[in-house]
Amino acid sequence: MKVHTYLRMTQIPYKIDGKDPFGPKGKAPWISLNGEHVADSEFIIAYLNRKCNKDLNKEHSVDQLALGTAVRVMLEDQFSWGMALERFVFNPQEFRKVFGKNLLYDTIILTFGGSVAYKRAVAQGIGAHSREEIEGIVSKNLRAVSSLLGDKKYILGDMPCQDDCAIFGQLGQAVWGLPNSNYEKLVHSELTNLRDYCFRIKDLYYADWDQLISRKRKSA
Amino acid sequence: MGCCSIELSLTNLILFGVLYFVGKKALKLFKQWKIDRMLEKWDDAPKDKLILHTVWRSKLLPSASPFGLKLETYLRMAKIPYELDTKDVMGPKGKFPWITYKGAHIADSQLIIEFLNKKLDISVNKNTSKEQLAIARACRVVMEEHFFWGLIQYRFIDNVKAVPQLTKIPAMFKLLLPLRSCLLKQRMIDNGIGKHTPTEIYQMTEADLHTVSGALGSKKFFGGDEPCEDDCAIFGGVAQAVWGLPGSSFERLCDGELKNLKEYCERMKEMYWPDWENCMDKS
Repeated sequence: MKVHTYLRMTQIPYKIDGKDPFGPKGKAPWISLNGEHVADSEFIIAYLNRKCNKDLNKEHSVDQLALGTAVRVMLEDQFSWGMALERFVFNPQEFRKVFGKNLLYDTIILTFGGSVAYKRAVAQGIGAHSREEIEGIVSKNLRAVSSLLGDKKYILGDMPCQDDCAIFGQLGQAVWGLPNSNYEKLVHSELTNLRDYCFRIKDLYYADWDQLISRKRKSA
Repeated sequence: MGCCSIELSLTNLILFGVLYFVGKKALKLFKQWKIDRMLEKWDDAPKDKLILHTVWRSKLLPSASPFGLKLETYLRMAKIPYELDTKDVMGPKGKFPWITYKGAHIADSQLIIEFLNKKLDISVNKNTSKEQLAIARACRVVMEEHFFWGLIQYRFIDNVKAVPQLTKIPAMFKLLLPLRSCLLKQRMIDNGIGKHTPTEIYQMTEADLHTVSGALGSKKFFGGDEPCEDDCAIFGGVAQAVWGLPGSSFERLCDGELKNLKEYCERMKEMYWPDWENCMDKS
């Protein structure tokens, strides 16, 4: 969602390939442009900024941008683990509502994905904790983001910055991609400014949102 | 003959697979059994004393572990007396630092701080606004969950032979350092950051120091004029860059372009570690 949103924010036209999701370094997403292949969302954005002469950060000072980056890293390096564990380990039955294709495919993905997600979360550190402890840690991060966003339109004010793409990419999962989770309950009840932020970005950059989802449902 | 050798190879493969999984499970159970026996020993510790179990003192700063330095700084900030144990380093959940207090053994620096705040009714964040606390939390997570891997890459993968200059290593552990290096590399790959080249890893984690420096600006602490709780964690991490990674680009950044981080560390050190020099390994 981060790279999608960046491409739409910078108006760089793109085509989706869903057949080879894992690229160089075994990471998703990745891009191909004029024969060059780049993986890792931050490197993709830096590459496209250079190649296409884009700068979403020009309206903001260095100190302000530091705040945006800190929020991005907090979500990408801790909330994302809470999300992966919620999806593949703690609440796998909800996974089918978001990604499900058929029973066999879903069972294989969940069995394999569950053990990989758990093993990686343990290696990262957060996986050593109980489910309640993990939810506590990750929920506090969401509360911190909500405090920092306040009633601003975007994380740094009235104009979006580059890190808004990443922040939306993460928070959007809590709003739409983690059905029946405590994170979903949080953003729809106590931290509604995070939900409103996500809807704001969706309305601005994803006019075709419903078509994208219905296309996916048809092919499933 | 041909069919027989295929059958034998298949049997060997299955046997190897079974042995591998059984061996892995047995090792996990053995490690847990060892931890449980060790914890039993500490069940008899005096209930009114807080025992901090962490890695032994290092030669360049009191703790080469950002989490060890974080927790010790918090205990000093909250004025909780403690006793150091550096023999049983690994605690519950296979993590350090960990504490023994009033019969409870708790691991993970952040969970320990939350436990002690609740148990002893402590609040070191009284004078800090909600927004400042949120910024401090974000910077703590940047240092603990992202910059940490730059530290690991530099210290334990690219410069593992220099580890004895940082901290005393028992002779047997010295032999195991290359294995430790491989295991940490695997952890980094599982995290995702380890799939990048070392140059890319350093680039990404140097950016973390820029982020934290930008967020600090000209403030004295992340809590404002007085430190807040997350200053302990941020100090624990940034101090590694300032004093604990000699010859690194992180050290150069803190000495040069991001000198507000070094000045911040000096302030925290002066406030909570007047005995800094005596808390280093001088052997």
